[in-house]
Amino acid sequence: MAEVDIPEDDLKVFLEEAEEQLGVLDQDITRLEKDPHNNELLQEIFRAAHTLKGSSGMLGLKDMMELTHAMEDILDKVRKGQLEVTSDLIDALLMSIDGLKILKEEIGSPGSSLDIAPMVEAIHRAANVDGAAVGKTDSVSLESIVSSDLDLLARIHAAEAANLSVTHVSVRIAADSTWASVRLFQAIQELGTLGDIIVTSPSMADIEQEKGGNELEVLIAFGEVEGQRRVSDLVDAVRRVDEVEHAEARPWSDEVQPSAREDDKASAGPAAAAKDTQQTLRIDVERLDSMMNLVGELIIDRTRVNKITKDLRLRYRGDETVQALEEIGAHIGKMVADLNQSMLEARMLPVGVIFGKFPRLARDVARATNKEVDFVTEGEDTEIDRTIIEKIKDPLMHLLRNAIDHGLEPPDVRERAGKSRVGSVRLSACHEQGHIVIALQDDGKGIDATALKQSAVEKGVITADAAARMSDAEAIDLIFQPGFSTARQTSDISGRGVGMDVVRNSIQSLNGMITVETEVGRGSIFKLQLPLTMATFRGLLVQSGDSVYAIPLSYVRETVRLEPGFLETIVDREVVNLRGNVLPLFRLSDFVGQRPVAGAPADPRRRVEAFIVIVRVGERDTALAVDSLVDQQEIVVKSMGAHVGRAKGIAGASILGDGQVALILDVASLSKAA
Amino acid sequence: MIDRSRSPEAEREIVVFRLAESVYGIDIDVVREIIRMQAITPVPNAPDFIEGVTNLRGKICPVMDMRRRFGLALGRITADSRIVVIEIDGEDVGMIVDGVEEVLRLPGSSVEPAPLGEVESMNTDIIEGIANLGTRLIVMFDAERILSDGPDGESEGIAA
Repeated sequence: MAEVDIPEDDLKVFLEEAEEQLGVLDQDITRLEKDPHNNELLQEIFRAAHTLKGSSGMLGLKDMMELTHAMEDILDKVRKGQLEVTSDLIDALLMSIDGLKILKEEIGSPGSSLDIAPMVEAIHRAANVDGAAVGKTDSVSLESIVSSDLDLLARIHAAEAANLSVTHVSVRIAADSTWASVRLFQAIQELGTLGDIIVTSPSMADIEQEKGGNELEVLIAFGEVEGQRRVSDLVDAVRRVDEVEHAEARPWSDEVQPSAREDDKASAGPAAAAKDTQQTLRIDVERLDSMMNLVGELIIDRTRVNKITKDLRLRYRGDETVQALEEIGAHIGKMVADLNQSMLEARMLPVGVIFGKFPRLARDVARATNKEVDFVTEGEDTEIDRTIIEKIKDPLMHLLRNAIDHGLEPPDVRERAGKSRVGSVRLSACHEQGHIVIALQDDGKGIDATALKQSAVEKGVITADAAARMSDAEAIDLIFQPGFSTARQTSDISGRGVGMDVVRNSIQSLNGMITVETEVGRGSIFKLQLPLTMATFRGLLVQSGDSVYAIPLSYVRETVRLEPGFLETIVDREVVNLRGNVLPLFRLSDFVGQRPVAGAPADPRRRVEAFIVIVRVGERDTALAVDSLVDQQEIVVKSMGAHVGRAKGIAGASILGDGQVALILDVASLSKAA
Repeated sequence: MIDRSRSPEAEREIVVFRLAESVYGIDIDVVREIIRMQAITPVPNAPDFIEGVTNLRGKICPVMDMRRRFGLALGRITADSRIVVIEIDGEDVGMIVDGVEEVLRLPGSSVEPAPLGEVESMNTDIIEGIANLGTRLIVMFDAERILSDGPDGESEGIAA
């Protein structure tokens, strides 16, 4: 991909589009393997390859164009029923897509490390094995001639711009004709009297040399005149030629676009979602983020105005001006809430954006591990904040690899266990009480709590004593411990690098939760509970010393008044005994009071903590001791900037109605420290 | 940001502030605003010289105590105390000082490199030089370095 000189803007648009088209190809070709006769799907694949070929050709990306051209050719045969979909064919196509991805990455860098010849060859090989059986002329389709020839494209555009209808005429001469080439020539002559012929296949030269066979495709620019000349005249003209067996004319624009646009988004799933993005406006994410920040400021100011209005009302009871202010305040409040909602929606993306990449992954993992898998996705339309979407992709990929590699048994083992050879893995997304729940369910062997405990003891993660006391749920939670892997042998697929602890950490950093339900022999369900947005959350405000802290409500199990009788000490550690449950205690005053604050130095003996907030992280409950509970409210998350960096135990900051800064507690890390 | 390429002859405009018994200067280009002391929320586990964060017109702004930063004895907040907000790497940072004296023009040539070891009991790592105005000395400090290394070389918790 060397020596290309592409304007930066063009390249940016191309890369975005290519990314989109490759995504569509990846997921649709994987779907095609299971659903080889789905015409709509084939059209979609063909269109994506076609678009990609056109745009790469436009930018002079030769390798990319050749490869997509080869793909397009056999896809064309498949959609015309001349070629069967085989797994070899799918392999060749997927291999080419991987090649295209590499080529795309290499754009602009000098020299290409990739030789596309083996891919093109694999495609042709896959095409020929079956193609021979169908036995039809291998005349080049008009679409592929036109789309690889910029002159022709320009002529078509010019004709369209001049309000001419560009029409595709197909002609077939009787197979037993001895004058086929003559008849084709005559047909072209007839058509030539009605319009401007743009291109023919076979070419005029081939026809004159009698190399033309008995079929003809013609592209003609044709001026329709109301009441006098119509497209059907073209067909009539061709039919005047002797021995014409079949003649057909249709508008050219239908060729590369779907003839019938389906409006039913739900039925088409992610394919439709991908298509929809082409009708939407692209906005720079940064711009969206800065708008979101402005809305955040508005929310804070609204809260302040409300507070001031309340103060004024107390001071000037019954004053008309204050009343008017109150009304305006309420109205602004409503508008701001609506604006916030719209901004949140503008930042939403359907999870289909990432789900679409998973069928391919599932197929690859299943092949590599000799598993058979039926992978289905559901709820692709479910929308979630784009920042969250970006951050759950890797964790989900990891879970999916695990589900197939470790969850599903090999086909023969499944058969012996009385299960279907093909394992089922289902990835679904849905709304649930103000959250998004993404579930990955497999019908594999499940997780054996007893085996886990044993392995954890062997690895020294827990003591035998602790293992004996552990409930099954707690034992299963062990998989989220760092350095813990249940696989007997680590394979290439699941690898060692990232573990479930990393998965849990990334979900928690999004204020989300991951839980697992499992049954030995029946399979497992991993559930991710995620907030709809990262920009705001419902928080519990608590006071400790002079500071107010926000705790995301999603972690809060309950709040309890701290009675002296709750406190116990186990091995020098303070714990809370709440209704027989022993919970580690974390005093926020210890956390805060590490250094003397201007004013009176904090006396560590002076305990004024009156409440405990029970937070749950994974399967672990922790009691946070606080001085008092302040309020529950919508918290706007603000960055503390790079200079403060990541202070352990603090997830960010927010500004309260009175202008005070409240720190947002990083509950997951506090729970670990307790 | 400080223009490192400036010629010694060029005039500089600086904000002069007071810490303990000495006066210090900082280029006016990096100063965003000077505000009165306001509520500062301490941030647990933040770098030692970060006093906390404050609400700067709806934005969260970290604040450092310059006495702590220079390794001086901690002082008291008085009616003269100010927060000088400077911009470093595109982000605002507040500096608590004992008082802001004036804005001063001085010739660039009057700033001499700080004689190492001659500045008593303070961290010299962030000092650019000494402005010798004949009647008095102003310690010029380098805003770009102010967050790069804390006292005792502590830099934990500061993102690059």
